[in-house]
Amino acid sequence: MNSIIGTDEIGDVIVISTQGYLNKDLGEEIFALVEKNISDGKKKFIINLAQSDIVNSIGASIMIEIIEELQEADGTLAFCTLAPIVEKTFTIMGLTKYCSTFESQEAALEHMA
Amino acid sequence: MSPDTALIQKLEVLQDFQSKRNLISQVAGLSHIDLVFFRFKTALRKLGLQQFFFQGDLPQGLLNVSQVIEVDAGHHIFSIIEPATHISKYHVCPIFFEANLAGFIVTEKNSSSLYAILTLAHHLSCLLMRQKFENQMSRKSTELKYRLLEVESLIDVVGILNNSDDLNEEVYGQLLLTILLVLNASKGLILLREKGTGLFSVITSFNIKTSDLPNKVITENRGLLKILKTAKEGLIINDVEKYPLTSFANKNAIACPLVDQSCLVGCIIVVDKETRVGHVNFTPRDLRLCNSLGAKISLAHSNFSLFDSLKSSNKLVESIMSSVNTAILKVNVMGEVEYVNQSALRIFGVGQGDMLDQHYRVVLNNNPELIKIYEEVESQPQRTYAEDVTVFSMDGTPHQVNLTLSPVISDQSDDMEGFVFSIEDLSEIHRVKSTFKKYVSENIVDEVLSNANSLELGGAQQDVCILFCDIRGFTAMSEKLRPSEVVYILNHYFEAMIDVVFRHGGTLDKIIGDELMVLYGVPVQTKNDIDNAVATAFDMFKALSQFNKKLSKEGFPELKIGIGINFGPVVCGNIGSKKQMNYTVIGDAVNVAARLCSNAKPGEILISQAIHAGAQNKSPFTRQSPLRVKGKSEALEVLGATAAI
Repeated sequence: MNSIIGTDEIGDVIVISTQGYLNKDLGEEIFALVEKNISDGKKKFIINLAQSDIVNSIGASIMIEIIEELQEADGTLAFCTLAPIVEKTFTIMGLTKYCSTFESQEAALEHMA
Repeated sequence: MSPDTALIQKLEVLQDFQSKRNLISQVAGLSHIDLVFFRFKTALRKLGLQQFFFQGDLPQGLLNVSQVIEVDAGHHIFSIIEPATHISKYHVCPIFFEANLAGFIVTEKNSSSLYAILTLAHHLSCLLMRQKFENQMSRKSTELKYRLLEVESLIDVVGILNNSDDLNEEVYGQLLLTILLVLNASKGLILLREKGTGLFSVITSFNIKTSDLPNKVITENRGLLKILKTAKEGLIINDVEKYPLTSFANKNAIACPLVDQSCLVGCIIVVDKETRVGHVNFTPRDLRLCNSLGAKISLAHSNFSLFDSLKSSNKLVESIMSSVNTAILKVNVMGEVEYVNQSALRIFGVGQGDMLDQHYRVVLNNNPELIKIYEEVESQPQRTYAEDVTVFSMDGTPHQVNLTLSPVISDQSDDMEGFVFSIEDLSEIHRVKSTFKKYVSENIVDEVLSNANSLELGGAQQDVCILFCDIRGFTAMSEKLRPSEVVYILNHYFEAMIDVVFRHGGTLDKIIGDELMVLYGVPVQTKNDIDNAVATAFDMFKALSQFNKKLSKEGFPELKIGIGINFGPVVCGNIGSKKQMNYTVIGDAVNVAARLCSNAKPGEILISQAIHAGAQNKSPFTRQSPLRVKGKSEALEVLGATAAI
């Protein structure tokens, strides 16, 4: 169902992979995970949404909160492998103004390096 | 401190209140400026104010707020006088925002404090106002984003439907995701009516456990679907536990019907609207949006149903049109070919691309007769029939056709929609007829082709004229010839004889070895049947004479024939089985004719009394010795004639 299916530390980047509906529940799960990692000193995050082909505005607004948290901590966030409808929702919600999106995880990692 | 342009400009440039406060404190020589607020705590924090008191955490002794409010009735700057010393030590300036007292600015009193406190109060009010507008703008912006999402969702739904060739499970899946997204719903499913059974089943679902999906028979006659069937519009369901179809919801649900021609064909169910603080109830606005999306999907469902129905009809029509031998060509009012079937392509000898959308003058370029007929009908629209018209294919091959040209009138508007050529290709009929005529008399061919009942087994009794013609001594002669020579002679002989028979309207009944049996009066009786039979007999001898000359030239022996003719009642009709039948006659009159033939000498025609009685020209015949026939008690009256060869 809707969950985080993987958290990988690749170099100094934390890659969070999800599946299912990026809604309030999954959004808050990601938020908590990012918050914990920020407190552990991590600053670079990639959220891989390859297996999340739908997001609602609540999920998108929680992503904005994550971006705000990271801005406070002088960190960065990127998204990768977004379904077109997810990318469109992110754009409408103004999310893409504050973070980058990439077609692949490799491209996102390269950007973070 | 006094009004100072430079100071004013500096204050204007500074964006946050804390900086303004610091600047004024510094310029006015004030050690502190305190702020006391009753409201707008969040707004003040957003303005960057770091040091202010809020009602409730006011330092003891600094200010007695209730006392201040009483004093402040006139909205003036005032001083606080210490009760013990009666010395005024503080300036207090109320801060009003939208006519409401928001708080106070309190500062120690000196020569500059009055102007300082007024300036600061003014800036603070302005900042609060700006903060309010920014908040409003932010809320409006968020609202606009949601509205934009709604519009985009509608566009997405239209896009999904427009780009789909079929409304299948995948398409419904995409539609459901779009609806869930725009409504911020947690879960959802779409039910569709199954063709045939009329039962409803889940075609797609999202975020619902399989165990939560409805597993009972779902019909429109009970429960939620019954309500939707009647209402024909969506509804918000708060008592979700009441219906099995919404029992997986935690909060509430929207159920929206899919309707096709007033018939419930499906249903969209979405549940549990999400917000940042948890699930909330769907609103009427959500319902309105869901109804709009449902209406779009319903319309698409109707269109696809109609399209499917149209495709089936077209397939059926195309199948019928392809199977008929009649060529069909539809020309629209612009004179362009709109439809053409396979038979028409065959007759015109072209491919579909050569005809479709082409002007009739191009298509019928080498068929001026058709163009003429078309233009006559176009000028005076009425169904026109033309028989035995020659149509030329692209390579010049002629086809004999019967043509019907019909105007097409719209059912709705009575407007002319074009013309339909219906072209019956006669080539095949002509070919069959021609082949048929090699085997049977033209009379029979025409009878069979014109009267469907003529192919039924059975017969009728009528008077018929029967002619037998036999080659004399042919068996002995053929023994001296090679088989190929026998066949050659017989074929050419029969060709000559049968030509004579057909010329006089005879019906070739059968060829038995070297003998011909010919009938007159069947299947069509005429008053000249006897004379035709007699004339045939004499012409046969003439034809034989010519044929013998040919045989002689080729070194073959000449043929000699004898002919017998009788007239009398016979049973005639199709005799045999359904698979193999012959049109023939049976009866005593046939036997008599055969007997007359077998008794005729070479070059002789023997006729019965009945023939003689009926013949117009009796002069060639002379009475002969009566003839004994097997099975007859009395001898037959016989007349004979010798053919002038």
